[in-house]
Amino acid sequence: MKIIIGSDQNGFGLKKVLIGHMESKGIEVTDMGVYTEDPVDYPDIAEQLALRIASGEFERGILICGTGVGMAIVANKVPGVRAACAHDVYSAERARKSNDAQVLTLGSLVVGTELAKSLVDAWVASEFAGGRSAPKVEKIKAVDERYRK
Amino acid sequence: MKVAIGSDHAAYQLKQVIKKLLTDLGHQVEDLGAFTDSVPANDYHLTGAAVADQVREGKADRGIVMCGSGIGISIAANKVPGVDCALCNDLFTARKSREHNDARVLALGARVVGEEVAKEIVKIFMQTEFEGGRHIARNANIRKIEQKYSK
Repeated sequence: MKIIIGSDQNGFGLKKVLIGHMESKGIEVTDMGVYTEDPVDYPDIAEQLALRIASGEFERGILICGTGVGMAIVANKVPGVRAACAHDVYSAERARKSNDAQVLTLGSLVVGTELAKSLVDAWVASEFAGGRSAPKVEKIKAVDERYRK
Repeated sequence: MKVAIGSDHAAYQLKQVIKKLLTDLGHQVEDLGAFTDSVPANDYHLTGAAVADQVREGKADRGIVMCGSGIGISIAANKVPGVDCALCNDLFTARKSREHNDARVLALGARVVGEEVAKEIVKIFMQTEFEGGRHIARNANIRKIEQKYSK
């Protein structure tokens, strides 16, 4: 699985921890920044990462900011991308199994590093279950289509 | 404030609790469904978008959407241009979603938080104002991104 990860300055430290964690498990991770703790505007990072998911270049993406909220809002604005802000293991699993979310967003000011690792593990290990969730994801795509250029 | 509220079947009971809280706080609530907890509602993403549409069109000042985890319905609400939806299952995030993100729609996971935590989250979301300042430019960037992809 090819995973791309990005953060703003608030998520910089947690991003480093999660890259190390995933690489130790043999997952190929591409870091798209930020590479310093200098302030940036998180919408730029979220859009760039979401576009690389929408294009099919990467299967999954992880975005980190202070709360995970801003990153999720922006990534969801990109057509074809479903981003889930998940700070508990149940939600991290459901993000994949029910919602087929290709993007996980995390808040570095909300969860600690060990919980964040568990969230990533649960999200990486879970796959979309299809079945009764499939028509629901189709409804999200219909909402996307309604407003898309 | 005028609040539009919507859920799937899984969050129907929590929606009833939150409606009562909002009414007790003096808000005017419009419920867009689901209207039962017995039938699995496949249309809840459309309900999420309908709540966001109410906010987009100025018919509601705020929106609250709920499903099992809050994820599916928050994704759907965020697909609506001009509307930002924050999935908040803790109080810190609820506060920041208003202070920094100026989110007008709140999403909750009925299977993630209990009723009392959900009520506190809603209270903070309704009471907290946008800080403005450096966040204005960031939020303006979201509108620019949106315009690139939406009709």
